[in-house]
Amino acid sequence: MAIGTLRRLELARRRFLDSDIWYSFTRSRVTVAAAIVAVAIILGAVLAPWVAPYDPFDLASLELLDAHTPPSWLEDGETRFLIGTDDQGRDLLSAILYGSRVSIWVGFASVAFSLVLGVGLGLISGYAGGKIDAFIMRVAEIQLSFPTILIALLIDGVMRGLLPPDMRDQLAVMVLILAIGVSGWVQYARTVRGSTMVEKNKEYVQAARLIGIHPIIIMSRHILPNAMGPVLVIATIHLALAIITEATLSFLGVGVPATEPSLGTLIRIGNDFLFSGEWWITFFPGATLAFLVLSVNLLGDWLRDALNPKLR
Amino acid sequence: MTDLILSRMPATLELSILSAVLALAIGVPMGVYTGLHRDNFLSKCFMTVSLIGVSLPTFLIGILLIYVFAVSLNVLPSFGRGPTVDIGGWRTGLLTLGGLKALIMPSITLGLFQMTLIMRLVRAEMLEVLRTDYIKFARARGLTNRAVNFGHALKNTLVPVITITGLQLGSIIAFAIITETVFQWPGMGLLFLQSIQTVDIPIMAAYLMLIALFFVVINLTVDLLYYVVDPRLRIEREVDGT
Repeated sequence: MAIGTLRRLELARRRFLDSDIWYSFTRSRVTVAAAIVAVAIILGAVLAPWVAPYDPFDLASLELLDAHTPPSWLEDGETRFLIGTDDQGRDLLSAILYGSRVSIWVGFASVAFSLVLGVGLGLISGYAGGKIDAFIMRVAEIQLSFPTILIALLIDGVMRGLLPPDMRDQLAVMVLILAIGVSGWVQYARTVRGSTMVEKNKEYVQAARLIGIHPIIIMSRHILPNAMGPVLVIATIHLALAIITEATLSFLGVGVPATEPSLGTLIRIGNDFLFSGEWWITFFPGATLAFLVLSVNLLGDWLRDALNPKLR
Repeated sequence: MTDLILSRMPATLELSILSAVLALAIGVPMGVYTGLHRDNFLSKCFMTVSLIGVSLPTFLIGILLIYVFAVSLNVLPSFGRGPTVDIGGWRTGLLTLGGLKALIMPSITLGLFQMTLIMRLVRAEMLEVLRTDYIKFARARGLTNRAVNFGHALKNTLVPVITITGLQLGSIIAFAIITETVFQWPGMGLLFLQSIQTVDIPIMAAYLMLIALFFVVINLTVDLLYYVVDPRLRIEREVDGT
């Protein structure tokens, strides 16, 4: 039994190494570099509690005397703090590791939220047709005529207005995920609706309907697997956009609270000290954010080209 | 409340329109150049810069500019509009030197993203059009490169470019929220952000209605511009109508 599983795993591994996707991945040096950067940042964020030299949330360990220490290679720098400290004496490297944890978590969670909402509505819209389709698509068009950032700001603002003040900081991350998630579903819905309308009229779907399978099973088991290719590409590019949106909202001061800083919050804190020449509080979180978004964007571009049969 | 928003409108409109002009004036020539010389070293530089421009968040570009030009070099003001002149209720910063200086960094920050987008769009459209038969025929007729590239090729890329640019102009006004925060620019976006922080629903609603109005006006203008740019549409109307 165990040998059978091992053998199957080995076969799957060989099949993956032989595939077109893996071939085009290893052929593009830029993509490999982007993947390494993205994986490194995500690993650092996930393993932050074990990798980070200090715990930035442990208020007892913070010394106000350590505040505003420059990076270790500059004058007045200390080797304890490799890239300096912020205004509260937090080690910047640890703060960035924990901060990218928040940023990446919000990014992935809001993409997952958009994906489920958009794919679900797209399937229903394409499969049901008629009035339901018209209604969902009109809502999508109304939302599409406003920029994403404005929609996210609006949902964030209204939600904060509805919540009692003492809950706002607690639920800030959830509100943020909801706001960014809702602002991004249209792309998924339109794409999935298109492919559902094509698949709906094929024989295998008609056969499934004929033998009396429930529409929900037809949509999720039969049509969905055939509509997922483009969704993957959209999700990768959307991840970069979601991370940028989270950072922007946090920078504007309506995102993650300062007690649990994300990359955007760190940049906002650093922005206040830019004029006293303390560039490092802004620069390092900003560079991390830029590298993360750039590498995710490059991976998205590669995936789009690799999955596009016209370009092969 | 109307006064509150209207008094802030000139600041935002001046900033947005200048950024849009900047984005078009630099984005279109760069797009044409990279479309004509695909594998040129300079085109590859432009493409790399545009990829970075798409990936860097707007506020980070603003902070970077402030650090270089306001903190380190100390040549440009880092916040506010500078001195303004009041012309019939419209407070403009375009007529004073200080006002113009204050406009430079915010408009670059706001226009950079749209510029890279327009550049990529023009490039893609140029590559598409340059492959068509009528361009080959125009070259065979012995027309100058300039006439072929600009008179024939660029003109036919304009319809999608106008569509996207029109939509982008709307989002420039919305993105101004971020730029106005970075540069403490006293416009509508800053007012909207303050209204979100203090949960002031009436101002949020009024601002959104105004943005919606801008979108409708811009889209109508874009639809009308199609007739100016594309003579085929004019001919169809003449055949149908008279």
